Amino acid sequence: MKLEHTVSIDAPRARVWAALMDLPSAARCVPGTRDIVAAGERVSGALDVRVGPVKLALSGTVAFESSDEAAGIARLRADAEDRRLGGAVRAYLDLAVTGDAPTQLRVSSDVAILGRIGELGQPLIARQADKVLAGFADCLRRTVAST
Amino acid sequence: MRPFSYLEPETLDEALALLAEDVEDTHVMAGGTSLVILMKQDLVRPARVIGLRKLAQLRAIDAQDGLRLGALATHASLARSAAVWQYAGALAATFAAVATVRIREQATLGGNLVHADPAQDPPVTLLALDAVAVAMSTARARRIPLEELFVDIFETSLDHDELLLRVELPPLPAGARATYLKFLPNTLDDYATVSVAAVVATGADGTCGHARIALGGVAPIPLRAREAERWLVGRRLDDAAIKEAATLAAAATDPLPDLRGSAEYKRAMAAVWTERALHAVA
Amino acid sequence: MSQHRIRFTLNGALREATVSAERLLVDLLREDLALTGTKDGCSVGVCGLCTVQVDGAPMSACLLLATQIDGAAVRTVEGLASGGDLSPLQEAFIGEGGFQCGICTSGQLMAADAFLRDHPDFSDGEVTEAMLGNLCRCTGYYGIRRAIVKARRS
Repeated sequence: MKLEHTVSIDAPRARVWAALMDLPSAARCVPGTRDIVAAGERVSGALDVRVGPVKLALSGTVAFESSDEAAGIARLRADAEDRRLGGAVRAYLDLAVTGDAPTQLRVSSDVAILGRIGELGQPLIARQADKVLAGFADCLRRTVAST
Repeated sequence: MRPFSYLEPETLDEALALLAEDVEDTHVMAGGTSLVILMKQDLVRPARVIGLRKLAQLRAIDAQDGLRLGALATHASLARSAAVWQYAGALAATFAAVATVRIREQATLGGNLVHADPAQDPPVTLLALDAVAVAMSTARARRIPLEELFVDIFETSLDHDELLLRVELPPLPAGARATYLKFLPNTLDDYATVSVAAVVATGADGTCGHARIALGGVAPIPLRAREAERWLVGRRLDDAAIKEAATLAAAATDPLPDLRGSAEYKRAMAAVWTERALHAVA
Repeated sequence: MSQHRIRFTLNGALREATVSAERLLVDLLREDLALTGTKDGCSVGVCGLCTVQVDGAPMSACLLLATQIDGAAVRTVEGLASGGDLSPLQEAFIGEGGFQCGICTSGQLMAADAFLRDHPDFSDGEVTEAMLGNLCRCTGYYGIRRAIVKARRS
């Protein structure tokens, strides 16, 4: 499923970009994350998210696949699984930065649901994923603007 | 199914005390039709299940200042209840429209409300009847207008330690007519693709004095079409007014696409079935 | 995990059992009580194969924890016949071709039995709505409907 959010951040573009490149810090902006640990180029952690009455406990990693500061674009890949439930999530996140104070950040994601998590139904999963993404973008906006 | 501890409190106070213990992975079970499926599929894994079946007072249905429906009343008992029929035939018909006879005999009003699937039947008609939910915890009792109970798909505004006790409905305005229509293009035991409950009352001059339109299956929560309602008040319920109200109702929807239809389809059906519902009560 | 002592009547006879919290009624009936007339089909309460009666009301045994029938009167398909005699409904199912493979038949009978008792003056048109929750892959439902209508007259 494809999801997208754009936020306007009251900060210079360079600061927004720097915040995005600080992956552990950016990861903490995803609502429901815990135990964020940097391991070289990758960041590992856990994400607790409720999908209806079901509590997902996803654990996995996220890392940059590519980044181009001049063009203001970067791509992240996230892989996580819920071993208890028996399912996995794989997401590509495309970040695009435009403008400069205010700076626009567009977060587009392509999320694939694998295994039993899919039993919860696409509409519900899409809705919750959308909320997580929106929360992430909003948290970034507030964090960067205040630094 | 995974082993768990089953607790069956004998009184409401006992049940609330158990909930207040705030033990993690505690689930409440009313009829059990939703919870048992989720547990069988291993999607929820309660360590404790608090069964409410001994709380007989929560099954009561009575006509007092309108209507009071106990949270443990089954859909079947509500569909059969003379008090419900007398209050509004459309409400009894709504409970009778739920799934199959077996589900209706086991599943409860309270379980239905806290499950909060936006395509369920009872919440739609209850919304159109200005229902209020009464909830309780050891800390407090609360009256929650039904609109404020539903927060998101499968999510209510109840705290983890709150129990739904009953739903209260105010007396209907004089001369009010109500209907509940359920669009079932697939099988008759299904959830609605789209559903509409309409309650209107017209004055001596033939104009609408009271209008409530609620829709199911067209948003993450059951919806009141307030703009459509406002449009109708003061107008005669002729074809043109009804058509406009239906258009306004559809515009207020935010359907989730799923196997029952795309968002566009559900929005279009919302207009169609709102029009039909309004014609039924005009 | 927790164990519970339940007392109930089963086809009119008083029974007791100790069940774990997670024991389902359908498994209690089929495995613990050796009453395999009740079938487990879809496991999610949709198909109707597991239809039993609890205090006269048709319910899905696959959705009921055994603890939920404590104090209740449970009837299964094994309780329809009395002595050696099949009930008029059962005879009607035989006479009208109300079954082929038989897998849904127990559930059909329990649902129909409850319907006949609660709505003795039903119209033919009401049969479909009453029985819509009991699926059949073999008969096309015609024989089932004829049997129920026939049983009404007896």
